[in-house]
Amino acid sequence: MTGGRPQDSMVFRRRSWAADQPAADGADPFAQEALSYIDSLYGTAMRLTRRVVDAEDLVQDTYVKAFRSASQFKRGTNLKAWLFTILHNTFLNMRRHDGRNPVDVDSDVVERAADMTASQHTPEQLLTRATLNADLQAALDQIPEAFRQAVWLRDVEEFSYAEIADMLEVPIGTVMSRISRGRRMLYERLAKTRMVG
Amino acid sequence: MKNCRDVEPLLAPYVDGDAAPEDRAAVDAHIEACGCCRDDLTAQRVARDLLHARRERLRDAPTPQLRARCAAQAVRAHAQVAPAARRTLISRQVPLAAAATIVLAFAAVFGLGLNNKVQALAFQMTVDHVKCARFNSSPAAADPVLLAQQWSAKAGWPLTVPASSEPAGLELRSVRRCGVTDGRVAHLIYDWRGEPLSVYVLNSKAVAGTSHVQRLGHQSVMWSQNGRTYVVLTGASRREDLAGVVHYMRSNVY
Repeated sequence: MTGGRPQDSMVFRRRSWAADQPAADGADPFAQEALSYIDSLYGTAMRLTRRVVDAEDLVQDTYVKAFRSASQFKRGTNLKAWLFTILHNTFLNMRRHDGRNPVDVDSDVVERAADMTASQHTPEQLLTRATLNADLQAALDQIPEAFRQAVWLRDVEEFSYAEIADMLEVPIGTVMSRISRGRRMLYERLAKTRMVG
Repeated sequence: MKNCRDVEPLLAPYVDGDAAPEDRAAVDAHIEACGCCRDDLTAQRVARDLLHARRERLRDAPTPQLRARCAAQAVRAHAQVAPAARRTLISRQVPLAAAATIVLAFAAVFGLGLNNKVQALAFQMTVDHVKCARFNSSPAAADPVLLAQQWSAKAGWPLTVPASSEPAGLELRSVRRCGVTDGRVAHLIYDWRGEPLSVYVLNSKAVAGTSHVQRLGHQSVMWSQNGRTYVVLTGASRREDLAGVVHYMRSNVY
């Protein structure tokens, strides 16, 4: 991704295509396109925060920052990825104010998750039986945040590995590893749910 | 041959079909000999396929209120950052009565493809409705005559306030000045069978005919009558019933 990385303390310079150059009919294509991603942003915010109130705050804050720093977005680059970068940074700030460090928390949970017993179901059975979206969503929500986020960005939002690495500011190898482990954890959670239920 | 730890990060791109040829060969060679990683690969493929198949249904949907609040941020940011640009856009608008001009200017700056005044009015009123209808509504039914008198005294032009109506399912709650239009538009707030319903009144003829608009999950009906423009707006989805409300309003304003 080549769009300028938005920061919390943004310099509000107006030199972009966004608001100074509206289309002939008066429409602002930047705002129009940015708002078209609200479903994706909110869906991701819900998986990150798992609370409606927090997800709504997160999405609204993301748009506040995006519109104010529209000048920093480089025309022709990936606006959706740029918005997700803002979402991610905003989320980290929210977490910091909560006094929690998501990476440290995740490390513990991952170690425990690795000891989890494997499923006795075959993958085909699991695929057939995990018919409820609610089950899938609940299983996703049980995965540690860093892994859940990487898997979601790849498999639901379909970002490339390079875009995710840029967004999360981690090496691409880390993204690959998180997606691998996150998918496996999701599978195990689903299998466990089915075994218990 | 790579060990399990080395292979783990390669499994995701392998499942996606994105692995480089040498990585693919390395994974193939490893899983040939390692049952654990072979199972892991299968598990990852199942998880990925499930997510792919359900991706559209997994996303929680934002409420119309959130959509409107986010959309309003574009207006606010533009107003803060580029007042000069905003003035330019305002001057480009088709001349209308003062209140309508202000409404249109906001919406045009906002620029969501609102290329005609009906859409622009509906959009701006929707944003105002989401912001204000729920929070400015009185808990009990209000007196329409008193509210109309108060409005006339404050705003300088007479307003007819349709009373509560049981057959229409309407209970009048309050009348306020619509803040985003410099107080020149009257905002009548009703409770409509448990949902807030707004009626905006502009002291000018701004539209021709009757228009139905759906914006940000809200529906609105607008028309001009006797030199005024009326916009009935609600987030409720009972479209067929709204016709009854519009009929009631048309019959009770003059």
